[in-house]
Amino acid sequence: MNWLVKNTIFLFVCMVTLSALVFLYIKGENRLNKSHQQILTSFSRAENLEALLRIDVLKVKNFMLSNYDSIVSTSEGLEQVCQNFRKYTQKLNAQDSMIFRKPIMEYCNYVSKRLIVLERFKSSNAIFRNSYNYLQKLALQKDSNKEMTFIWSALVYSRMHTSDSSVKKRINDMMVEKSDAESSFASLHTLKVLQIKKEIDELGAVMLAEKSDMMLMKLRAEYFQYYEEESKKTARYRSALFGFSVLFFILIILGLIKLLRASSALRYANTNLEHRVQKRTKDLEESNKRVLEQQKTIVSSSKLAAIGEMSGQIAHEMNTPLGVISLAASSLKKKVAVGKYDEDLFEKKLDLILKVTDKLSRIIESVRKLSKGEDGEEHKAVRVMDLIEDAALLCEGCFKKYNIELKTNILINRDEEAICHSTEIEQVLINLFSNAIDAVRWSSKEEKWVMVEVTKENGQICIAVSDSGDGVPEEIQGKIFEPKFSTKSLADGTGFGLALSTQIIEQHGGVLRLDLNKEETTFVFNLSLKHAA
Amino acid sequence: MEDLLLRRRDYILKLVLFVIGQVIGVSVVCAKPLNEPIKPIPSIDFTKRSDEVKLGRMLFEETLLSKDNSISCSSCHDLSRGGADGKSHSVGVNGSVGGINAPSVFNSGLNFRQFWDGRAVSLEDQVDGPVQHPKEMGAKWTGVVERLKQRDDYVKEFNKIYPDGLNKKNIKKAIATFERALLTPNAKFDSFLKGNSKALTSLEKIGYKNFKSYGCISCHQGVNVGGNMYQTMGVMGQYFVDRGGKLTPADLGRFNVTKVESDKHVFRVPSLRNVELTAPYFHDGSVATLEEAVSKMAKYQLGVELSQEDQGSIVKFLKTLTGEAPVIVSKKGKK
Repeated sequence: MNWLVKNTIFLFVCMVTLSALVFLYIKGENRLNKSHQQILTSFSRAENLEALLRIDVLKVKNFMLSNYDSIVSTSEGLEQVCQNFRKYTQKLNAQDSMIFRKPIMEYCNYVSKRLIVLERFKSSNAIFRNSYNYLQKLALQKDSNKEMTFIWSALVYSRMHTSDSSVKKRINDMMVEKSDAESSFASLHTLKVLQIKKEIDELGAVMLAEKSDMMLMKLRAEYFQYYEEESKKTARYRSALFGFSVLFFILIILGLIKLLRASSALRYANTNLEHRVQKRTKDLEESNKRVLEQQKTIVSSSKLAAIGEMSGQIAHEMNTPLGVISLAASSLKKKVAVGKYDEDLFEKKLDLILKVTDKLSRIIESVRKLSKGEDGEEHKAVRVMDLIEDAALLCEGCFKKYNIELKTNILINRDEEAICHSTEIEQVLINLFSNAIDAVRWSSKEEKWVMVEVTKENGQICIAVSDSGDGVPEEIQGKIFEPKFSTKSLADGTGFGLALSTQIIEQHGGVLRLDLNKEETTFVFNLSLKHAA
Repeated sequence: MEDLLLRRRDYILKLVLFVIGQVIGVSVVCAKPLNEPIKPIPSIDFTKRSDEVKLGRMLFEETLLSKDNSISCSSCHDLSRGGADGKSHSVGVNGSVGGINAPSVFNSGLNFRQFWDGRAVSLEDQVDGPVQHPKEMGAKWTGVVERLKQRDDYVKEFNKIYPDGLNKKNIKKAIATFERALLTPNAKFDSFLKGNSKALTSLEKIGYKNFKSYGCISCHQGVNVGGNMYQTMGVMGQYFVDRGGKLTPADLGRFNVTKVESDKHVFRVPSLRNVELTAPYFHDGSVATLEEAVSKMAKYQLGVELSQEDQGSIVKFLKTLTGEAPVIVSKKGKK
């Protein structure tokens, strides 16, 4: 949970920083920047053109320029500059407009006014020049009269200074006197010249005034001041932007570090997990091994227990014939002591002893066979009937003791052989017989029998052991095959009998089961026939 | 070692002499251009804009621009008659007679203003005048654009040249571009200005001297021999009184534009290039011959009485101002 909270906070901080960045970037953009270069260019151009115009006007005034084309291009340039200025004021927002619009429009209007004046100046100058030249020609003629010379000098004088009214009067007087054709033209020109001279001086003064330069300078200064202020303001935003970008950068680095650490932790956890899984697997394998060993031990100990069980049985079995032998021998000894050598009695009793001894040796042979079986014999071909007979022999005493009949139902060839471990199968049969005997023993039924049925099916031998007991209760039918489960008291049973038998049969590739189709309790298992591979 | 140095010095000397010889030779062959108040027509290359110029010419000769499809620009500014129509007043739609003499379209790009009263600043602006004037083409721009849009060839051409296709602005632009290409270079006087003193006869040279000394050149100067300033008609004499007849609105000249009293009878100074082709003369087209025009100008503008001789020489000089027909016009075989 703590991790989630931390990451959420981190993400939140990142978002806030990002939005701060965007805000500051927008605020930090100097909106004057876009047009700044253009404005500067326009200012420079205006200053240049104004200077050019002034020079040209001076030249024209002093008769040094007769081609007006350059003046035309200069005035067109100024018009263009004013158009640019007007466009600029349109683009300004309300705040900037208040500061700049008025001075720029003032300058532009002043330029327009002056350009109109310029046209009149051009026209007037042409007229003045022509008339002046005319009079000059007249005055400089070889046979010109004194008046002409005087007019001419007056004009020269008036060119250098403003018209003197006394000179004018004198010229007027002279004009009135003369009347010939030449004079009429001369007076025409003189009047014209004097009239236009004043005009040209006025117009020229307007064109040459320094007012425009001053206006431009002021405009430039104000613009720069304003630009500086804007730049300072935006510079503040920009430095804040810089700070936040650094912060953002750091956050990104942190994020990356976190990511790297997380991924390496993940990798480490993965490898760790791998190791742990491997270790666990090893542990499991070991414990599995141990369990298997334990099982083997259990198996062998249960085997030993079974053997213990059986040895009790065997001892009991061996005891009975020994008792018979002892009884017979003592009876004979008694007869010898008395001196009655009854031949029939002696033969009967000796036959009995021999028969019982035979049985005893057979029992011992069985036991030997059983004990031999502990070495893990291979599966061999064994006569089925041998197996059953041996097992029955070992339990004969028990059967007789409890008055239980052992019935057989052999449905196979008597010499049929099965592939198996004879000792182990005998052990199974003994176990089944023992269980059957116990079941009948505890049963209150009148019938007391145990039946062995041997059948052949699908190349397998089926051996079924059934008894007349009360049957296995439904609830424990599955459990009886489990090890340590016993319905008998500890003195009578270890609980391993059926479990062991099941294991043995399974090792033989067969199945030991409780046949529920039969009314009586029937345990059935199968073995491979000799012919089966 | 010394031998090498000597040889190198020899070589350098030879080189220097050769260069000097070349410079002298070249300067002998190529005469220096004269520094006169009149300048020769510049050679401007329009090949990069040949598409626009061609389209402009199509439109210039296009009668669809007029109300009744009878009048095109070339009706009054005839490319084969020096750019004017040879009439004192031009004739527009429905045979209506205009109020003023049509100036030449040749070299009109060199004028600082268009129209006699200088009301149009550029050639593009000038197009508005005739197209919409009731006595000239009598059309409305919306009608013109519609009529042109019916013609697929126009639509295709406009879309090829202009990004926004066929509209009033581009029609004006095309026509103006064509008009700017109507320069008449290589007049005899122009080669004289470029330094070829053999281009003019001695009489013509005298004519130019008189042109300068009498003061004609005060107003008729610059690259277009005029067209770069305004001037009153009748500086030294009452031109309109002496001419007689009613004062027409056209006679008021610049006053119609500025409404300033001193601008009455002030007109744009016309160009004198190709003047021998563009009779009749003056804004009212009242003068039929060049000789009469020169005399009247001398009287009313310069306040002088010209002798026959001087008048003749000036006329001779004016005839040297006729240039070659514009390249695009001559290509089509017209002259």
